[in-house]
Formats: sequence, structure tokens, C-alpha cells
Amino acid sequence: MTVPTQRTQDRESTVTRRRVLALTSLFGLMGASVLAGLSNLLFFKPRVTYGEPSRFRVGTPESFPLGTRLPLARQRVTVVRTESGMAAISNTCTHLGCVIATTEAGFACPCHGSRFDADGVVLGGPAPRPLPWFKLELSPNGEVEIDTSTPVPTGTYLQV
Amino acid sequence: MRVALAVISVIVLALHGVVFENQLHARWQEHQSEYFAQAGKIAPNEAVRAALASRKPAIEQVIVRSFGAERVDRCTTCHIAVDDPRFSEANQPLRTHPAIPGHKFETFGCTLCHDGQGRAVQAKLAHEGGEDWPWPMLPKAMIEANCVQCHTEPEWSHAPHVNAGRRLFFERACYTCHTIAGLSYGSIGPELTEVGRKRRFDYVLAKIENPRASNPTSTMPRQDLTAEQRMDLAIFLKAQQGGSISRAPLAQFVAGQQQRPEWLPVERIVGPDAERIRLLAPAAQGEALVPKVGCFSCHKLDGHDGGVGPDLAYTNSQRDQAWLMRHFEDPKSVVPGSVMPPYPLPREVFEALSAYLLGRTPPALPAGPAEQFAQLCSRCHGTAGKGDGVIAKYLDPQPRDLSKAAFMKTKTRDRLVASLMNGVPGTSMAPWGHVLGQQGAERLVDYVLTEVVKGAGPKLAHREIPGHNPVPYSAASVARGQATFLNRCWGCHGKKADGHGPNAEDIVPRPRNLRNGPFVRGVAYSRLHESIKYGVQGTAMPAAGFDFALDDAAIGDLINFIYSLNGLGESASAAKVAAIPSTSIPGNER
Repeated sequence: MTVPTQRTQDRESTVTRRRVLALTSLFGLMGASVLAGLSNLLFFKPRVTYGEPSRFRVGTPESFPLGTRLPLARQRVTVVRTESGMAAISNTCTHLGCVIATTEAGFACPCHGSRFDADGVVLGGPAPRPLPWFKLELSPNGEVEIDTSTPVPTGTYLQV
Repeated sequence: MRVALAVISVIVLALHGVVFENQLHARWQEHQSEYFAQAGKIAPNEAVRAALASRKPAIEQVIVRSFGAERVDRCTTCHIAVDDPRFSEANQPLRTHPAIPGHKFETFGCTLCHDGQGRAVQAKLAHEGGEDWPWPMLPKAMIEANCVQCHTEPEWSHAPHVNAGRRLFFERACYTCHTIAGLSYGSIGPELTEVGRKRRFDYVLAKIENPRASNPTSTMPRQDLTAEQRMDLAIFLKAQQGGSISRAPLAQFVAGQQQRPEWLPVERIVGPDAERIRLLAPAAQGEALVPKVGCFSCHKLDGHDGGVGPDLAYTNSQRDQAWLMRHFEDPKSVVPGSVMPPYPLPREVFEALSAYLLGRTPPALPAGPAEQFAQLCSRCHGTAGKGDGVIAKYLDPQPRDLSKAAFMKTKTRDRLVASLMNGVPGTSMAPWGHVLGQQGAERLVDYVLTEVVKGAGPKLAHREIPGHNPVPYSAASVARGQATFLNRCWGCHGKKADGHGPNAEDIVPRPRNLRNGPFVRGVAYSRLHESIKYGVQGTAMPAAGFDFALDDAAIGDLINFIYSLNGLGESASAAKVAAIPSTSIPGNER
């Protein structure tokens, strides 16, 4: 009777040690593969690209007198100052992405003839949607900051 | 195996954890969160506070396109408060940048002025840029070197260090060796036109402090500069970035095509004083110019000592106007081994310098020969006469070791006195005859022979030396001499006979440069013959007449060959002497 007991104990202890190692390996490798899979999701998109920054400052409100309609070619946005305040309207046609021109009546796309009024609402042509407006805020140093990654509803003015 | 697998799997997991931690909790994210929190506390209204609270850390960047190559500056990712005036007292990286009118961050970025690696978002990489990054962030005092890339007006008052450095560049004679396009045209040292862009400023600074710091064979003399002066010079050199980034490439190309002038305008070197100096008498002009054009960076005169060139105090008793003018225009034409660069200055400046040096009264001569030796000889020959004076390493041939009995005791006293009085042409040994007089020179030679020379020399047997060349000069004789030379002499004197043979490295004093025209012209035929036939005791020159069994006729051929190298033979036959082949040695071919 003594011998089998001994053997059983031996086997039990060996199994325990093996099991611990196996579980540790399993935990480590599974954890690592889960994190690796997660990183594919989390880090798939680059944090930043070499494009134009979406958040930029354009100067103090005083440098935009009443009635200003100033297109910024690089940032593709038109800075507007009216009696209601300041706004930033996209310069990119909602049809096929051409840079649109500022006209007396509003905006006109040279590519396919889309026309927009001063608020960017479609007046004619193939453009399917009005021009988006972007968020404007006053930065701590007194300049107006435009954030082209945050659209706001048409007619949202920054009071200055 | 199982244990190893378990350990490795845990390590792999831990590494994944580290990557996630680094990516999700980077330092810049902490800095931005702190900024949002602090700005939220002092926000003027609830809307701003809510906007700040909702903002997530993101990499901020400025793309600079208006100044040369496109730059991407992400400095504002950490330094997010640079244009928030409420943070002027905060700790870095959240401190406000001092406002500079007309310079918006959106247009100028950061690295245009500060240098550093703009794309990095880790402090160490962004500031120092790693070992190979050529533009680590500049110390505050050096930033003006980048300001002057656009503010190119001369003597711009906001760049005092650059202006001081430019003055030093001329005063310390840097311009005579180094080229900075549009400023100087020296060809002895490396071009410095783009040194500020190609070299790290700490390299330049270390190089100015000790020219051999990074290059043990550099021949650039070490300049005696204060720490501030070294900094000024380094800032000036940092400003040399190969043209202005505010100029169009075509304009820079056209500017680079300018012809190299024969000499530099004095105004550029002397500065605004030039007009005043021009009106002075020649000697006074020279006196004013000597410290400005760079003489003191090498030579000794009055209280100044550059520690490279000879003492100029005795010039008027050693040289004449013609010698000085030849020397100014091309120092190597009178001393072929001279390290003095040819000066890119107009003739009037040379005339003024000559007038000043020749018009000076030399300092009083001490009475005793020991004091005379210390004052006149020790600068080159060393205080103990061992040929190791402070400037000896800049002289070629190097000053004679006067303590070596084997040389000194085997030459006649008359020859030593003559060398002292007349100097040795083609070398830096100046004629001291007018300073010392016949008796003074003899006393000084006797002093050297008794007090400086150590031990007794060998006894010499009777020598038979022909007084003139037994072989008339002819092309055939030159060819025979050349064959002998390339068989027996080139190992030390070199295939070009310039004293740079393969054995020359280990020989002190170095083998004579036989292309030293002024020297060969200046010694008598009999002395050349004696040196070849009997050797020169106290040097490595063997008694070729006996060792190589050359008879007087063969030695005559050799000397004809040496004359032909220096244009001393009959001009018609000398012209036919072929240049020495550098690849094959006649007589050694099989």
C-alpha cells in the first residue's frame, strides 16, 4: 500500500509543477497575442501625418474688419466676419473636392459650376451638400483658432 | 524547456505591456493633460472650461514651408503653452515663449531659430537629436547665428556675437587659410562656407579650442583665445550655412558664381576703420594694420605672441623691402617649407606693413652671449638648444639641434659663424649679422660650442673636395645624376627629391628638400659635394662617396641633377630634363 501512495504523491507534485508552468506560458502568450491584436486596432491609424494641421490660429479678431471674406489657400477655409461675428467656411467643394472660388454672391466652383450663397448653402450645380462650417474659438493669446476637424452647424458665429 | 518557455512568454507579455504604456501614457500626453487642467482652472467662462475638458492630447505640429527645405516642427506638442500669455511663470515645458513681433509660430516654427529635431516628440530626441543629428538645440546665446540667416544686413546690431566672431575671423588670420564664399578665399584649410549646417556646433567649438581634438594631424595653429572669443567665433561659424534661406535658390546660385577676386578689400577685413587708416603715412598704416590683418595670430611682436611664427622685432636688420614684398606675395618663394599662407591683400597693404616693420627700432641687445642666446635663438632652437623651441614644430626644415656634438663639432667655426651672420637661405634661419656684428656672432658661436654642445665630436680625416664641378652641365650628365639619385638617394630624399622619401618619417633631422631653390642656390658647390662624398655627421646622411662608391664625377652628375631641379643649370639643357617618373625607377627594372 505504501508504494502506490508514494507514487501517487510523486505524480501529483510533478503534475502541479508542470501545470503551473503550462498555465504561466499560456497566460503570457495569450496575453501577448491579445495585446498584439489590440495594438493592430489601436495603432492602425497614424497619430499624425505631414498634412496641414487641422487646428491653427489666424490672427486677432481686430485684423478681420467687418465684411471680411478671406480665403486661406493652404488651409482651404474662408474666414468670414459679419455683424453676427466670425465664422470659418470650408473652401472644398462638396461635389468632387475642387477648391472653390469666392465670389460676390458667395462661392462658385470652377470645376462643374456648383454655386453657393454667402453661407455656403447650395444654389445650383451638382454639389449635393452645403459647405461645412468649422468651429472657431478664441485662444488664450487673443487669436482666433480654427479647428477644421470639428464641423459646426451652418450659421454658428463666434461672438467677438 | 518548460521553464524557459514560461519565462519567455512572461517577458514577451511584459514587453507588449511596455509598448502600450509608452504609447498610451507618453510624456507629451501628460504635459498636454496638465496644460488642459491648469488652463481649465483659470478659464474665463464655463464654455471654455468645457472645451478644454473635452480636448484630448494630440500631436501638434507646424509645417514650415517658407524657408528652404520643408520643416515639420512638433515642439508645441509638449510646449503647448508657447503662445498662451498666462503661462509666463510656469515651469518648462509649459512656459510662454517671449513674443517676437512679426514672427508667428505658424509661419516660422521652432527649429528655424532653435535647431533640434522638430519631428521628435520625446524630449531627449527632440533637443539633442541623437548622436548623428547635425543640429542639436542651440544654447540661448547661439540662436543669433540662425537669426542672421535672414537678417543678412552687415553688422546687424541684434547679433553682437556674430559680429565679434567675424572680426576675430579676420584678426586671427582664419581668412588666409579658410574659404567662406563671398567673404574669404583661402585654400589651405577646409572650406567653411557651410560649416554651420554640416558640423555640430560642439564639434566646431572643440576644434577652435584644440585644432587636434578631432584630427591629430591638423596643421591649424592653436589660437590663444578666451572662452568668450571662442564662443563668438563658434557662433559666427554656426552662422555660415551656405547662403541665406530667405533668398531664392536662383539668387544664391548667381551669387555663388561670382569670380574669386585677386585680393580682398581692406574694408572687409579692417571694418569701418579702413577709411581712417588709408589717410595715414605708410609706416603708421602698417602699425594700424598689423593687429587687424592677422599677423599676431602667429608672429611675435612687442607684447603679442601667436606662438607659431618668428619674432618680427628684428626685421629691419634682417630683411629688405624686396625680400619682404616677395615674402608677402608668396612666402614659399623664399622659404619653401613656410607654413605662412599667402595673404589675399592688395599691394598697398604689403607696402605699408613693410614700411612699418623696416622702420621699427629693434629691441636692445643683451650684453652676455647666454642672454643673447635666450633672446634671439631659443624661440626656435629651444632654451637648451636642442632644436625644440616653442615654434620649432611649425618650421621646415626644423631648427638644428645645437647640442649635438657629432654635427656641431665636425663643422668649421667659420661655417657656423657664416650661417649665423648670413642666415640659411630657404629656411627660417634669419641673418643675424647686423644685429650681432662679426665679433658678437663669433662670441655667440663660441658660447654655443662650449656651453650648448654636449660632449666631443668625432675626429675627421683629411678631406679632398673639388672647388667646382668636375663635370660640365649637360643633359647627359643630368640623366646620369638622375639615374644615380633614383638608385641611391630617393629612399630618404623621395622620388621627387622633396625630402619626403619612405624612410624620411623616422629620420631627425629630416632629409633635405632638394627642391628648395633658395637653399640650393645659396650654398657653394663644394659644400654640396662634401655633404654627398663624406656624409653629414650628426645626421642620417651617409658618406655616399664611399658607401655607394661614387667618384667625384658621379657626384658632379648628381649635383647637376639637383641643379636641374631648381633651374640652375644652363637654361637650354635644363629645359630638356625630364620630370622624374613617379611610378618606375630606371635601373631597377627587370
